[in-house]
Amino acid sequence: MHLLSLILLLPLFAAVVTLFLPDYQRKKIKYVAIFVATLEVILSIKLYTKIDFSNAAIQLLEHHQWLRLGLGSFGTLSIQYVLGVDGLNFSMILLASLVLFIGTIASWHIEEKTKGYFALYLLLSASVYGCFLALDFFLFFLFFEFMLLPMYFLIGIWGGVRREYASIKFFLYTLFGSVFVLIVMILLGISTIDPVQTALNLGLVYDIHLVDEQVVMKVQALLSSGNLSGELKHLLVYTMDTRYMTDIKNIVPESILSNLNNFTLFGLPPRLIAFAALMIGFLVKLPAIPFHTWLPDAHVEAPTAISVVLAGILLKIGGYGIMRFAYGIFPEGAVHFAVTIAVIGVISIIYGAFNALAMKDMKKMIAYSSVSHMGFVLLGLASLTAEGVNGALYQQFSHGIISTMLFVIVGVLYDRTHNRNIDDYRGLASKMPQYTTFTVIAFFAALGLPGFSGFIAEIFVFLGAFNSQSINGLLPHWIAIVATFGVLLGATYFLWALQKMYFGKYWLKGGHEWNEALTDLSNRELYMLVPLSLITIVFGIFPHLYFDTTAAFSIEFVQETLLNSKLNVQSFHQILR
Amino acid sequence: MFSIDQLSNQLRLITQDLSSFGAELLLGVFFLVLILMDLVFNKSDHKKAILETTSLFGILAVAYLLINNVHTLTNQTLFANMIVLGKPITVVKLMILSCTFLVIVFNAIKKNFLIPSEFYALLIASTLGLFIMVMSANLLMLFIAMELVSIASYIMSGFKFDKKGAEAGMKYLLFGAFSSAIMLYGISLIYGLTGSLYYGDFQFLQSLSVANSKLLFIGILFAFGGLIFKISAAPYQVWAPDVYEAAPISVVAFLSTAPKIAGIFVMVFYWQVLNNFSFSWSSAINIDWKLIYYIVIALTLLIGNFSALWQNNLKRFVAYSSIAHVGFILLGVAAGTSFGTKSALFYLGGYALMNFAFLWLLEVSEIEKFEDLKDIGKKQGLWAILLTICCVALAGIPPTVGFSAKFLVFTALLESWNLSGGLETVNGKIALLLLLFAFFNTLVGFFYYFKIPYLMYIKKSDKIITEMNFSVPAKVFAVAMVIPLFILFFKSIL
Repeated sequence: MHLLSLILLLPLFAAVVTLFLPDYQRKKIKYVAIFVATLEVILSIKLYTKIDFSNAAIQLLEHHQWLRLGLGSFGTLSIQYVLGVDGLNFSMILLASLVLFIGTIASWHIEEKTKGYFALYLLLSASVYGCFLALDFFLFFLFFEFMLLPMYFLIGIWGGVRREYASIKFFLYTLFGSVFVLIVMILLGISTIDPVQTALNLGLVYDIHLVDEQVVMKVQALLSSGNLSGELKHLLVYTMDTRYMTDIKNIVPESILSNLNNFTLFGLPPRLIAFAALMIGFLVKLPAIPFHTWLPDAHVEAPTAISVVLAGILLKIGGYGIMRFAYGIFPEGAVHFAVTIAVIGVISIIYGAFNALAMKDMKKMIAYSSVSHMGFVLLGLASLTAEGVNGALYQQFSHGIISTMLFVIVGVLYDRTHNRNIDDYRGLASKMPQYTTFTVIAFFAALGLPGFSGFIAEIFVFLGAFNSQSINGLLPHWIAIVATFGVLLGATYFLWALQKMYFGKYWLKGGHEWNEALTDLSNRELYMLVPLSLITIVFGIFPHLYFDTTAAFSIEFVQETLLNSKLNVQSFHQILR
Repeated sequence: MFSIDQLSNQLRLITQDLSSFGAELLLGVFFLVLILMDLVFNKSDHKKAILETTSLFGILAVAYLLINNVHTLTNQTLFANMIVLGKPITVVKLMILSCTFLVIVFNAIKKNFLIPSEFYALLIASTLGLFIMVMSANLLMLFIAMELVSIASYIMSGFKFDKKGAEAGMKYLLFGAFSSAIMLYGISLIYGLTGSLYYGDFQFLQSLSVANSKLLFIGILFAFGGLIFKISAAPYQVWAPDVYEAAPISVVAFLSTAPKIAGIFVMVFYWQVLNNFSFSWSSAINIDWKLIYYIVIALTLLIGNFSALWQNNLKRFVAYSSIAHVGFILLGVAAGTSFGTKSALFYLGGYALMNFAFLWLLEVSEIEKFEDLKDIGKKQGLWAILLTICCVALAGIPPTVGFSAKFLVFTALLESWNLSGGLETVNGKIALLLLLFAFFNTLVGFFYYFKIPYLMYIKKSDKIITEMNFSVPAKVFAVAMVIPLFILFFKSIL
C-alpha cells in the first residue's frame, strides 16, 4: 500500500535510531544497519511482485500535497510529494538495495566513530532511494543535493591519505553540475501547469476526483488558445510534477520553455538549451568525459564500502536522471543531440579504457573502467532504439553488480596490506586461490565475457547503436564501429592486471610481512562475493529475468521520445487541430 | 499666523493618531524605565536579571499592543501622512521585535556575561528607531529614525571596552556620520527639486518626472547610499567586518539581523517609487534605475562571497557572509513583484534564524579563529553537529530553510524576468546574467561554509582539545534555534 514510502523512510528512521545509540555499542549499531539493509532487499523483492511489468505506466503512485506558494497575480506554485515506480526505476531500486546491503557488510570493520559512519550511511541510503522514487522534480532535487552531504563526510573522515582533497573536489564538482539542474528545474516549475489543480481553480469541476481526460484536455485547450493569460492568469497552478512536464501541452505558451518562442540563445531555442543544461548536470554524475575527473580521486580515497556505493549506485543516478528528466521532458533535445551524446559516450568508452590501461593503482584502474562502462549507457540511450535503451538499462544494473564486486576485491587486498599497486604483487593465485577465483570471475564479467551479465548489456547496446541508422536514422554506423574497440581495450587492461598480479611466480614487494598478512578470503568477504558472482552469472544466462521488467518500458519510452520530439517542434494549433 | 482653531485642530489630530502609535510610545517609555532602573538598582546583585526581565516584559507588551491594536492592521497614515501603518508593516515590526527578544535571551542565558547595563536601553531605543524607519512615509522621518538606530548602534558596537572595540566604534561612528550627512544632502536635493518630502505622494511623483534629471540622479543616488550603508551592501559595506569583529556577539547578532530587515523593507518602498523612472544623464546615456540596482547587487555578492573565502577570524567571516546574504535578498527585491517582496522577507526571516543560531554557537564556545576549530568534532558532539547544520543551512542545501529561501528568491526573479519580456530587453539580458552570477556565488558559498565542518571533523590539530561544558539552558537554546531551520523548509511561511 505505502510500500514506496516505507522503502524511502525506513533508512531515515534507522538513521535517527542510530543517532540515539551510544558510540561504544558498535555491534548494536552494525546490527541495526544490516537489519535495515536486509529489510530493504526483502521490500524490493516484494515490490517486484506488486508491479505489473507489461504495463509501462507509473504504478503504486503515492501522491500528497506538500507546498503551495502563492505567486501573486502570476498563479500558484504547487510542489507535491509524489512517489511512483515503473520499469525504469524498479531495477534501480533493486540494485540500490543490493549494493547498499553489500556496502553494509563491507563496512563491518569500521571501528572509529562507528555511530557517525552508520548514521551517515543510512542517510545516504534514504537519499538514494528518494532519488529513484521521486516523481516530483523538486523532491528529486532535494534528494539529489542532499546525497552529497553524507558522501562528503564519509569520504572526508573515513577515507585514505588525500581524503580532504578528494571529498571537497567530489562535493564541489557534483554541486556545480546540480546547479545546472536547479536552473532548469526552476524554469520548468514556473512554466508547467498542473491541469488537474488548475481545473479545480477555474471552477470546471467541484472535486478533484472528478477530473478526467476531458477536463484535462479542456484546460490545455484554454491554455493554448491564450484564454488563461491576462486576468485569469492568477488561477493557474504551476507544478514540479514530472508527469505533467513531459506533456508539451501543459507548458504555458508565453513562458520561456514553450516551443512557440522565437528567440534563440547561441543559435539554439531555449528548450534545447535547457536540455543541454540538464544533460551537463547529469553527465557530471554519470560521469562522462570531460566531467569525469572527480571520480578517480573520490574512488581512490574513499573507504571500500563507500567506493562500492559510489560506483554501484550513485553513478546510476546520473543515467536515471538523463532518462527520466532530460529525455522525458525534452525529447526534441534527445533527437537533436543524439550524435553528440553518442560521441561523448564513445569517447568515454575509449578514453576511459586507455586511462585504465595506464593506471598503476588498482582502484584507479577500476575507477576509469567505471567511466568506460558508463559510456555504454550513454551510447545505448543516444541510439533511441528499444534494444539500445534496454541495453543501457541492463548495463546500469550489470555494472552496478560487477563494479561492486571489483571494489570488494580491491578492498580484500587493501585491508590486508594497505597497498594497491599492481606492480607490487605477483602470482597471488598460489597464495590465495579462493580469492583468485572470484577475481577471475569479476574481471571476466567486467570485460564482457559471454555467460556474464556484462556481455548481454554490451551486445544490446551495440545492437541498438548499429540498428539506429536503419530504424530512426539518428546514429551513423561508424559510431558503433568505433565503440566496439572499447570492448577490446576493456579486455586489455583487465587481463593485463590479472596476468601481472595473479598468475606467474609468487612475489610480494612487502616480503615476509605481507606474506603473513595475505590470508585467503574471510567469511565476511565470502558473504559479499558469492551472492554477487551468482547474480552476475544468473543474469548472464537468463537475461529475460531482467528484460521482462524493462521491455515494456523501453518500447514505450522510445516511441514516446521519437513521437514527442516531432510534436514538440510543431506549433500548438497544429497539435490540437 | 496660527489661529487658535488651527492649533487645537492639529492637536486633536495628533492625539487621535497617538492611539494607533501605542507600541512605539510603550517602547519609548520602556527606554526611560530601563535607564531609571539601571540607576536605582546599580549596586544590586541581580541587576542584570532585573533589567533583562523588564526588557523582556516590555517587548512582550509591545508585541501584544502591535497584534491587538486594530489600527495597526489597517492601511492608514498618521501624523499628517508622515507615518504609514498596515499589515505587512506590522509583520516586519514583529520580525524586528523577535530579533530584539532573541538578543536579550542571548544575554540572559550566558551567565558570566559582562555587558554594560545601558545595553538594554540602547537596544530598546534602536528597536524604536527601526519601527519608525519601517513606518515612515516621509524622507525626513526616515532620516530621523535612521539616526536614532545609528547612534544606538555606534555606542553598542564599542561595548567590548578594549582597544579594538574603541577603534571599531570610532570607525563606525565616522563612517556612519559621513554617510548620514551625504544622505541628508541627497534628501535636501530631492526636496529642492520636487518640493515634497513625502515619497510616494502624488506631487512627489509628478515633480520627479519633470525635474532636472542630472541633479535628481545625484540626489537619489546619495539618499539611496545612506540606506545601503545601513544594510551593509556594497559599495558601503566596509564598516561591517571591523565592527562585527570587535563588538560583543549579542551586539553582532542584533546588528546583523534587525537593521537589515528594516533597511530592506524601506528599500522595497524606494523601489516601488523609483522603478518606473529612468533618467537621462545626457542625451546619449539613458540610465535605468534597475541597472544601478543590479550593479549594487552584483558588487555585494562579489565582495561578500569572495572575501569570505580568505577569512581567518570567525566574526569577520560572519560579517562577509551576511553581506553575501544581503546580496541574495536584494535579488528578491529586484524582482519588483509582490512575490519577490514576500520571498525576500522570508529569506530575511530564515537568515535571521540561521545567523542567531550560528552566533549563539560561537558565543557559548568563545572560539574566535578558524584554527581553533580544528578537530573539535572529536570531543564536542552536539555543538559540532549543530554548527555543521548551521553551515549547511547558510550554504543553502536542502532540507533547510537556506535552500527554500534561495529557491524562492531565484523563482521570484525568474518570474518577473519572464513577465517583463525575457531576453528581448537589455535589462532582461542583464537580469539573466545576474541570476547566473548569483548561482555561481552560491557555489562559492558552499566552499567557504564547508570549511567549518571540514576543520572540525577532518583536520587534525596539534594542540590538546579540552572539552567545553555548556549549561543546559545554553544547549536547549541552541537546539531551539536549529530545529526551526528544518521546520521552515517543510512549511514555507509566505
